[in-house]
Amino acid sequence: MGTAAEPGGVLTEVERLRRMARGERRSSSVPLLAFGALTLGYVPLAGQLSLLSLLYWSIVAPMGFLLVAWWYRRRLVRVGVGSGDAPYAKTGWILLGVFALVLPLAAVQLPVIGIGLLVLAVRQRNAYLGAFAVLFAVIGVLGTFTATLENLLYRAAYDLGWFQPQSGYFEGAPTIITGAAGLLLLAGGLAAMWRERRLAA
Amino acid sequence: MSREEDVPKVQQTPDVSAAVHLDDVVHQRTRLGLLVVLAEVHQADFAYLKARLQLTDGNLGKHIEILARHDLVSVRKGYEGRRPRTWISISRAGKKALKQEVNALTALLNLNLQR
Repeated sequence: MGTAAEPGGVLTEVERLRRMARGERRSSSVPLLAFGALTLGYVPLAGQLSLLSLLYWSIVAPMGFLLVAWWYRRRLVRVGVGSGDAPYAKTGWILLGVFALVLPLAAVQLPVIGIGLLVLAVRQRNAYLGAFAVLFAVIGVLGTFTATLENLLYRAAYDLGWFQPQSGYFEGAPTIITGAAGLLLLAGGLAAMWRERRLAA
Repeated sequence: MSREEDVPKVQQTPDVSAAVHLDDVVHQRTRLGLLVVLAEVHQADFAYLKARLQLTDGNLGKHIEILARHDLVSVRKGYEGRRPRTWISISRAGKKALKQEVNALTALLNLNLQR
């Protein structure tokens, strides 16, 4: 670091060390890949009103966060730096409680997972993970909670002649929205993995 | 042992030192670097800090001991499998001291710019 008599130099060095340490603590790839894959796993169940579709996120989302927690714990031991598994494990248990309470409200599931990822991003001061978490939550809110995206897809499908309304509802919309949300996280995770590997090389 | 006994006083011009307060324990460049890294990562092991700050075992150990003596960091020794690991994490007092130091440095920089 700079000499004590040069506050500008010391502050510059402080900022350099801060950025380096923050970069090494962060890892966006595993949470994004894990929740991207889990969201794609929900695609065949999207829009269905079955016990399995209701239970899917209640079981899978907390498990996903616990899996990520386990991976962060391994990373902490391997690299020697990080916040460990505590915040991810805590989020997993909190989500388990939340889903137990809102089980009948299938529409809030994607936004709740997005908020969970956002909490972790804020704790990591990870803008990249935060941006994907917000996008995921927004898709969840507009897609399943307010049905805005479902209505847009319905109109688009009708205008393009792909769908003739008989029941007044485009059954494919939840599948498309869930698939898009899953692919978004997966793409973000793959890009993060590529960047992390390049930095580690 | 008081903080003043641990480390030499930082050389400052009298007018500037009157305007800002720099804690000698935190202001020392290696210890400041340690606190900056630990504030970002929550916890780090001895080997990581040694590599990142390019210090020898003895030098790093000495600075961690000084920070721990002033309750600015905590040290946890344990094993990962058969491998001994020493984990260092910053305390609440450490985060506060780091924030005060950065604020003091910023104030010092502003004073220097005004002169």
